[in-house]
Amino acid sequence: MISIDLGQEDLAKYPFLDEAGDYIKARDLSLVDISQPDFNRVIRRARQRVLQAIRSREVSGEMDTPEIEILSFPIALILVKAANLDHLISRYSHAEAIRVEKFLEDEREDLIVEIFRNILKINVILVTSKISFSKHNYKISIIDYLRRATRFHELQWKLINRTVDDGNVYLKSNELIRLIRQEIESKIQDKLKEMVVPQLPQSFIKTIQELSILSPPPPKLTGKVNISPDKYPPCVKAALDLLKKGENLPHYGRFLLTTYLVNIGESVDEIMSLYSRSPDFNERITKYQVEHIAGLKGGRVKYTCPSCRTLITHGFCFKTKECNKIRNPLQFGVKTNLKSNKKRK
Amino acid sequence: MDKKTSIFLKKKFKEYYFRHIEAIESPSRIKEREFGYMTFDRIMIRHISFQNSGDMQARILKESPNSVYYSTSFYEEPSLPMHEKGWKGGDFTFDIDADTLSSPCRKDHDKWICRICGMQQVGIKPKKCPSCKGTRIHEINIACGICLDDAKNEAIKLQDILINDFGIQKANIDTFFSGSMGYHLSIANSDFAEANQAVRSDIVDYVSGQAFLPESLGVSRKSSYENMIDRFPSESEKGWRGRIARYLKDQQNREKHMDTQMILTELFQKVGYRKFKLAIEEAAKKSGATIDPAVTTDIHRILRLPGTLHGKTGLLKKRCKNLENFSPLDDAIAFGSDPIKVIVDDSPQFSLMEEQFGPFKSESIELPMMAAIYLLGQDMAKVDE
Repeated sequence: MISIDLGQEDLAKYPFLDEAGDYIKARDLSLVDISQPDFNRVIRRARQRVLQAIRSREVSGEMDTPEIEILSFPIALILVKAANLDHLISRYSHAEAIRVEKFLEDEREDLIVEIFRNILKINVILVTSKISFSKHNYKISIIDYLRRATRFHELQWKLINRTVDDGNVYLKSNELIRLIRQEIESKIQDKLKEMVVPQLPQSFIKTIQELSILSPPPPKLTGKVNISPDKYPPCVKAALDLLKKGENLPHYGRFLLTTYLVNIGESVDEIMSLYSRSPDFNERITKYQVEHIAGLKGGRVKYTCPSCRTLITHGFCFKTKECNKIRNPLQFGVKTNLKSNKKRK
Repeated sequence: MDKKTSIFLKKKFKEYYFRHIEAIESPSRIKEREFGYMTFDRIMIRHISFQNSGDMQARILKESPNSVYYSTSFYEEPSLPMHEKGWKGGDFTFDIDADTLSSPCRKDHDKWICRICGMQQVGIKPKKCPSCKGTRIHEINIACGICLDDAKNEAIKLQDILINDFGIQKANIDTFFSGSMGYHLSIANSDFAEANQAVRSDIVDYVSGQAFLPESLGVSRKSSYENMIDRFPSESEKGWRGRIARYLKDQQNREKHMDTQMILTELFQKVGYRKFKLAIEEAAKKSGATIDPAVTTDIHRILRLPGTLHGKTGLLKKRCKNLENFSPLDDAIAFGSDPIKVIVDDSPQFSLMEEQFGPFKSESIELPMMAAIYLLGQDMAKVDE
């Protein structure tokens, strides 16, 4: 529980807090009550929340009447849960998380610290003195930082580009908040997953049907993508080039090449034939290793391709403009293909 | 390695362990660790576990292997196959190897042999054999005092980053000479014990100075700040900003007495963003510690057990109580000076206990035990009939 006093406005901003749940319980309202004309504005706002998530991927903050903002949140959750669409659950959680993020950015420091400590179990400490050229308001432990920041692929989130001292990372408020978007999202997702849909009034069912129609599933990425070698990402091309020249391909290059080809659906034999040119080729060992990576031997786990970040660490990234913002070499063909498909449409 | 030599080495290792078994260090949480060893027939045995240090010592004494390893991670069931072990967490480990540093002495003592045509030469391994153009080239690295000092400097840089930036107490950083080419640093019971591969990988980049952005110094591609000087770090600043500042200050002509903000401003204005970025990247790499990324990020790794012998050198993996004063080619010597006759095939010059040996070429010679084992282990000599 949060140890500072929360007003109605605070609950409206952060309706996922237990305190907001208590507030609603104290009002003792049933779903039938809510479906009465008196609460029309609550239902409208709940529907709007979901629609905003579908259309603009971001729920707005409507603070004119905090009570409506508080009450409409659980109703919106019911609408999403009852629609029973996985993609709507994740889209909605994401959009609500962005809404929360915007409020947190302007939030008073003591409430931010409380929310982080109580809800997210992150020990955030307020910083008073200036440690670098820009002002940081907060610090958190390196491990708390890295557990979250390694999800982002932009270089500015790497620990080396942060102000670090004595086991702590110093952050500005917008950085601290961006760091936990995913967790707010998970909190809302967890609420949705745990939720049991009660008996619904007729008026709800119509709204749910309407929302389901308006929320088509995202395009699916197919498993086997036929990618011709000229469409391979630059790191995979570099690995192939080294092999073709008969030069020794470093361990990480081999791992990348094999996992990449296994994951785009090439056969073990096709992959083996590439290695046959390698100066230290040993058919038995290579076959075992390729089959192991393909999940046919040993742990029976198909290995995925190492991420771009991992490749940078191991000195095997040959980034070009075409890489754009991919995080994994496997996205190289796929993301580009999707984009050009969209353009054609 | 011929049979006779491997039997001889095994016998000598057994004698050593018989007298020094207590010097082998037991890792914490021993029951949860995987152990492995390599025999002198070069067979690797893995997925062993021990209930206590007595069992571990007994096995090491009995087998007297070429090399003994322990997992840096701890598992539910350490003796099961890898995917069934149940990873619980692991020490935070770093490996520094002299053969990854470009010390100038390497051309004098490293050696390579072409596996195709048999050509061999002292010097840094070429990409292709100059004789047969083959690329199957085997490398023999011999460490000398100079490159081991370079490796030590990397270890000192790493300690400094771990202490100042990560807030780890010096006493909690276990530092070892690896028994051959470098140093192992290990931190038990840290916040990072349960860190996944992505977290470990980011820490590797941090300590090795990879991917540092000029934006972290306060400037960007478009910057034309009037107050640029206020954005740049001073030498006393914490973290990487201060580290870059101190590096550039060191590089400067000392007579100039310019402060680092001024040095950086001049540099930025003179060369522009792109070249500034390159200069800063270079500074970051030089001020970071050169480590093997795989050892830190691979959570299933096994590492040489402290207090055991390195099969290639006969030197010990030895704890460095005081890294600054540690002298590996004296302090990690396990074998004495009893003379033994060996036939040396081809060996560059090397030194142990401040005594120089070699270079030797196709000769039968009497050497002190430590030097003989040093050559026998690296397959540069064999026991005289």
